[in-house]
Amino acid sequence: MSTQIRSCALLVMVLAASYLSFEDVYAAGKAIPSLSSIPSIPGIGATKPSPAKSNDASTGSTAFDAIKTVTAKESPEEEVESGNIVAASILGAAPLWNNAKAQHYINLVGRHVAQHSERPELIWRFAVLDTPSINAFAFPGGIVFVTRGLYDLLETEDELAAILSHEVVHINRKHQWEVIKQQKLVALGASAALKGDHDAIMAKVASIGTEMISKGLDKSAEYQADREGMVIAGRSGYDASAMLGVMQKLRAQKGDDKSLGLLFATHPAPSDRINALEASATPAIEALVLPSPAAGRLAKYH
Amino acid sequence: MRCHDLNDLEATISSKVWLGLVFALSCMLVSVVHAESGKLREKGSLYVEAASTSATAGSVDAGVTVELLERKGFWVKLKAPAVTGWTKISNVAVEQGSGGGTGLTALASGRSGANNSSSTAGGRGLGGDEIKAAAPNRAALESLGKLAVGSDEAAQFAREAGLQSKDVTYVPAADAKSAKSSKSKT
Repeated sequence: MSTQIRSCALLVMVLAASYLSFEDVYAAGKAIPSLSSIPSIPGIGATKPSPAKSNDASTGSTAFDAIKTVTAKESPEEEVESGNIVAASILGAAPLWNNAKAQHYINLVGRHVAQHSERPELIWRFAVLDTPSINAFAFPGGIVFVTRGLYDLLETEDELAAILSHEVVHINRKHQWEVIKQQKLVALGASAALKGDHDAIMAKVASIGTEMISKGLDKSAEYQADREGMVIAGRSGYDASAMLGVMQKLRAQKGDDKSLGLLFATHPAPSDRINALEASATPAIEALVLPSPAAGRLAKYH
Repeated sequence: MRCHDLNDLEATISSKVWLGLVFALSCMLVSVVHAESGKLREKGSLYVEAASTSATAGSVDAGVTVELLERKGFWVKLKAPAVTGWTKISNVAVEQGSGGGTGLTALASGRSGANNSSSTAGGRGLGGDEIKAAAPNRAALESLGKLAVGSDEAAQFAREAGLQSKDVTYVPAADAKSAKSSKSKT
């Protein structure tokens, strides 16, 4: 695509944004291919990508410092900090569960699983949120939340690893980050007041992110996370079919259960996910469907 | 051997036997499903074991109501009116909320079990409205950062449980259907 065509495509999006509601823009964003090939907006500058971060844990103390410019280029800092601000918003709605043992445990399992993904260099952070709702969330840059309602439902470490693997795929594939990037570009193009205003940009990213979480990703992204999560769990030494057990548990719940409202509104039906998982199972995966030796360990971390 | 040595030996053996029994019970029950019921999608054979190479236990018509007894990988053991056997999990249509609960899994794992949706979790529900209305909690985010662990610590934790990494490749979405059909021929 030539530069002129790219510029036209961006201009059309910006113009459209001035006429459309967020819902319209969001829906359009799902259908728009990645904008990563579109050059940064002239005069606004580009963020220079930095080397990958270290493998070690970090406090993430520079959580909100990098989103100062507007760019369509890939920026690890922007991805991490966008994830940080959206995750912080979720933490404003549901606190971390005050159970240090469980929080450490989910980080050990999650980090092990993430090491078997394509992005082990991220600073992976996992947590259980203290809410009875049943759900799990992924945020750009390596943050994963599992609600206590879901954690309580699980019976084995294999099932926990299955859920964490699913969320790790969302981050690997940048499902949420692509949506946020696109929406942010549209919003910044539509509002001159945002340009250069770091706090306003952060607020906009938080708004985009929470809207995205409440509406969910495209269903194809969820199926991909199931399909590839099954592989990552298997690579990590866990029962590759454990997600089926999780889906059976979700399917056993009453459909009008309030604690499942958001999950069911934003994901394919459990039966459809079970069928898709089975359809994706190659002989190599079917060879990894025995309970792992770690299966019973979950009971000690509750 | 002195009397107290024998007692110690007996106690040691006894504790190991109990641990073995608990472990075996856990392994047997971790994949127990929760007494879901459903209907068979297509007429077909139920197998004696969870493999299409095993002997057939009998045939069941499409639409027959069955009870799901146990899952093993991508197979599920069914109880039909006249026969009990295994079929692929996708061959059973199960309605949302059909689970009845057995309590067996809770017994095995010491956990609340899949049909106890009344979580003991505190706090309020987390729906779309709550999420959109939330203000960022930066202090909690800082706490989250302190929870992160290093790759070496996670690897050690995995080794302690005997987890072994495997080499498995992704299956592209477009190949999923053909992968299934090629398997069904075997």
